[in-house]
Amino acid sequence: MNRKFILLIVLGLLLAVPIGMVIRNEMLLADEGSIYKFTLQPIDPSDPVRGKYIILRYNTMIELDEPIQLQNGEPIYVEVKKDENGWAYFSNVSTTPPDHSAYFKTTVNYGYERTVNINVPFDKYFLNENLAPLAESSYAELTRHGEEFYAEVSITNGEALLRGVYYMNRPLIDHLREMQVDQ
Amino acid sequence: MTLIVVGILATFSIGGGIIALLAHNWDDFPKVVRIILSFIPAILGIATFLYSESKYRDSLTWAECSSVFLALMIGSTIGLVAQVYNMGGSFEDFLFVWLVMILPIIYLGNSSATAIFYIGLSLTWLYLTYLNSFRFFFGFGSGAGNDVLWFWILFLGVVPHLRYHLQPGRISFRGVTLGWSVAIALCMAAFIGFSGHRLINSTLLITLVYYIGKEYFGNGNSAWQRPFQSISILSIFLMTLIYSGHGLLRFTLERDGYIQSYYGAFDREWQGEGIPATPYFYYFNLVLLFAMAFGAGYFFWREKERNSDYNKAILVFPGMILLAILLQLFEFETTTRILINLYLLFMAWWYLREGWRMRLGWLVFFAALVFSTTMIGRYFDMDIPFWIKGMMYLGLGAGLLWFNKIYSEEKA
Repeated sequence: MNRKFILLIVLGLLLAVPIGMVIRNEMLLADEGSIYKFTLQPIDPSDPVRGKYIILRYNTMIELDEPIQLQNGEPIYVEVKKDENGWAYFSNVSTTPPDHSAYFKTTVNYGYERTVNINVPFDKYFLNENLAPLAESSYAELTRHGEEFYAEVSITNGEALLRGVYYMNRPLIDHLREMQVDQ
Repeated sequence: MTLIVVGILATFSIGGGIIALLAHNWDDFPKVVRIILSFIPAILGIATFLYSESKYRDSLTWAECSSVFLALMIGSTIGLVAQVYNMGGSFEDFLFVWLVMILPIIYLGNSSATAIFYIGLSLTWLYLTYLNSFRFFFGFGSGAGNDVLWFWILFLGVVPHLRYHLQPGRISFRGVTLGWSVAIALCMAAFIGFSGHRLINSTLLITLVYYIGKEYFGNGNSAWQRPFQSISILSIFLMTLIYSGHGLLRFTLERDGYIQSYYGAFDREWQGEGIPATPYFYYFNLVLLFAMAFGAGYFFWREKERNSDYNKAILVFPGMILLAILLQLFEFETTTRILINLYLLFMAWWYLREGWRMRLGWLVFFAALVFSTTMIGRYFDMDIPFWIKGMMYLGLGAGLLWFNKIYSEEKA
């Protein structure tokens, strides 16, 4: 194989990774049946490459029917259900994939007897660097009524992707922009 | 050389600028525009690399700079795609993907600057993985588990590049710079890069680094030209100093499962408590242990054949640690501490003697540093009457002043 051929293959592979990320995410977002809404609370850190984001806090404590011995960091499957009002919650964990599609793959944060705390793979909402601190400073307002501030997540067959974050049924970003203008 | 160094610094600066500009998050634009924007860095990086390949094939500066630029821009693109889709995962998860993508660029551009960047980023990944996965729950601390072992697999990826550019007995700017980055990374990883047999593994690794240094940088004329030896000697001092403190050796052996803890279980995959997260990967610690023991033995043997005037402070170090472990296993706590402190004093005496013999001021300074740091440490954790401590430290001060007098007379 000559150098030019290897060069093209490797550079093509380097581009294929982000293209693959885009295709996989778009396929997940296109599946309307996989949408779940979770209530949340935000805080605001920063990432040197991906920029500012708010961490979305979910209720990550799961009470199990049967105690399972789990190690910190152990890969698990988390099942998702909806309550009578349509709000989603994490209902159960298992070490093997459940036989339905409403679950995602993640790791154990910590576990103790019948209680498991999970790491959530859709806990980052990337925002413009001017809006992220505003989201954090409006923390009290955003979380005043629990169900007005929520995340919409696509979850199916082990994959999970944050679709958007909403406040009073409007995208959070629109609300923050309005607040920015008012200030 | 100046051209390359300045060029690489400029590349880092421009690359960092582009990353920061796009990390601002231009959420005023529609999603499609943001996705297209995300690919601009990668396309820019690839175009620069191809331009360098076609126009400046023989230029080392272009090869190094375009490779570093491509590595940075690829990171920017995957970061931006993750930003657009709010993809979760920690910063170290992101770094891991980025590292895997940087690896082929090192070989494509034959770029040591990219290799150094890769090594630095791997070490950052290791420390973040270690620190972020610390959990304290019900009073029990548990460490990062077996994830830290991935560092060694990441490191193996850069070994062919090192083998190609490090030649025994040939001292070059590229070799020495690579040597410093590798030695610093290995010795820093020695402290947290294992999830089992930590004490033995870190001892073997630091010893191995020294003997590899003797093979590849044995004829370096200064401490700068002997990066592996300089860093491993400093690491041996730091490691011994840490374990000379009260209870720290015992704590490490408890975490390794050699001794039953006073407070209960830590993360003991080896004992089968709970369901191990990654049971087979744990045994990679043992693979590393045997590989390092073999490597240290091999390079020591080669050094022995060339030179019989070895550094005795290094020679006795692994044996001293093994003896300390045995003594601690039989609960001879005080004897263990005396042994480690005696080693520190021996180390100080050895480097003082060598520094004096070779008229190397910095080595004498290092010996004084070892000696005084040990004494300062013991002031705080030694349970003996204050009047004895007072006499000891007066004696130490007088001894150091006397040494200064002799040394300045000798120099004059």
